[in-house]
Amino acid sequence: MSSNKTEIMAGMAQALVGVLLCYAAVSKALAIPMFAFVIQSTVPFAGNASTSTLIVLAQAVVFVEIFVGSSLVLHFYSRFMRLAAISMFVAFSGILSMQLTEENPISCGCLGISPDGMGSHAEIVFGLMRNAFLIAILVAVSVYRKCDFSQSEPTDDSQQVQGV
Amino acid sequence: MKLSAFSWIRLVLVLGVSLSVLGYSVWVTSSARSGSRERKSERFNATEESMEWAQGFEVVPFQAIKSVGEDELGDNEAINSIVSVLERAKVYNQAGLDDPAIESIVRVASEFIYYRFVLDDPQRYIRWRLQRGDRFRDMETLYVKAQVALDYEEFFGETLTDQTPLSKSFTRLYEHQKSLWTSRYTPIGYGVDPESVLVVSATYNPIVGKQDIDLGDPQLNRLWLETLTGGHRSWFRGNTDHDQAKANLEKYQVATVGIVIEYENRERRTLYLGLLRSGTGGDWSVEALSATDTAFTGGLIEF
Repeated sequence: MSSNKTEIMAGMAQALVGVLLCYAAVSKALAIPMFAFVIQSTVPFAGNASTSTLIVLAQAVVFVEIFVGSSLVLHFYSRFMRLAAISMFVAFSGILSMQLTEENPISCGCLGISPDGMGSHAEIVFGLMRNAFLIAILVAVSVYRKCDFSQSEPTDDSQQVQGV
Repeated sequence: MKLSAFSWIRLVLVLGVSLSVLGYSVWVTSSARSGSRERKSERFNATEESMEWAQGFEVVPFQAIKSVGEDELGDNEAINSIVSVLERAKVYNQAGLDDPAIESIVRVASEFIYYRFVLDDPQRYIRWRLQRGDRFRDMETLYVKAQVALDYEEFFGETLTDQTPLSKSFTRLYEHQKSLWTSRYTPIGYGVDPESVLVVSATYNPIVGKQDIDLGDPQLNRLWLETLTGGHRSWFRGNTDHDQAKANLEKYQVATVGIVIEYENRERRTLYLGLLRSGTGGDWSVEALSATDTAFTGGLIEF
């Protein structure tokens, strides 16, 4: 496979992860109170936070997701955004793993929340596998760009897009 | 850091999309919150109107029915006197049930009113539920989801174990909650005018949810359906496991019987019995009970 084709595939893979993040953000934005409840129930030390704090936290997560997601789609500061996305997926996976120990886990709200807020162990396992897959894609794109094409991956983002 | 013109465009796009979604989420959340406040305030007004409207009905004290039952006519006679009131209600038959099914709703609701409110004896109530084929919900549902274990510990300072018979914990909580009712929540009679009774049937489709109930008159909808209500705790279930039916995407039939209750403080508020049965027919069971209220301070009705 030519380097050009591989580069296009890498760019598309990154963009698809970005689209997924945007979708996740929009689905959460439509149900902020429910997502605030998810944060309260799943994130350590968030149990006693006030409703307003939880809502701001929920909106902050939505903002970061859409910002990172749209940046990945548009290849804006790709290297940094890939790192940010990987960090988010790792953090989300950590929270999901804690939910695995719960007898009656609630919906993680990763890609929208079930109407009653309840989830299942199968949903969590699927979420962990999905996150691992997305991390693998982003790591692969990063490694590819570092090893091959992006040995010249510019620090000035304006040049980078020409290769995509 | 110097950005090219193309990078500036992308920055504007990224920020534009992100801020739009953030703004939308803030707007949706705040409008939902203020909308919820408005709806609650509107429901409060509807509740007060409903309570005022209920004052106009003739009410028969439970005591009068009880004495009929205790004297010579027996339980059936007393239940029949309630049936004779409920069967005069206007029926909103949205599920398209046949006459025997409607009669069956009225019969089961009348028996429930008799055993739960008129006789008000937990042992007789349990016996009636078990005799008609209902059974206690499973322990996990009752103890955890319905918070029976939590309440038991809070009220009695004792931990409920799996060895405690459900009939015992039911009876104990039944009596204790009753002691918390005060005059505001102690029912003493019910409305017997046809307009003070409501029977509605509907179909629950797991995919699209429950049919909307419409009484065909905005004022009636307001007085019956748009009030503030609080649910009470159900200990029994019939043959239809609606959780299982939902999971299997099976339709089931639901019915609501609304009555006007007079309380010891002379206030009158509507009370709703939620019945359900399989989509293919069978026996109805009373699975839900909710009451119109504005304060929600008294003990629960364990049923």
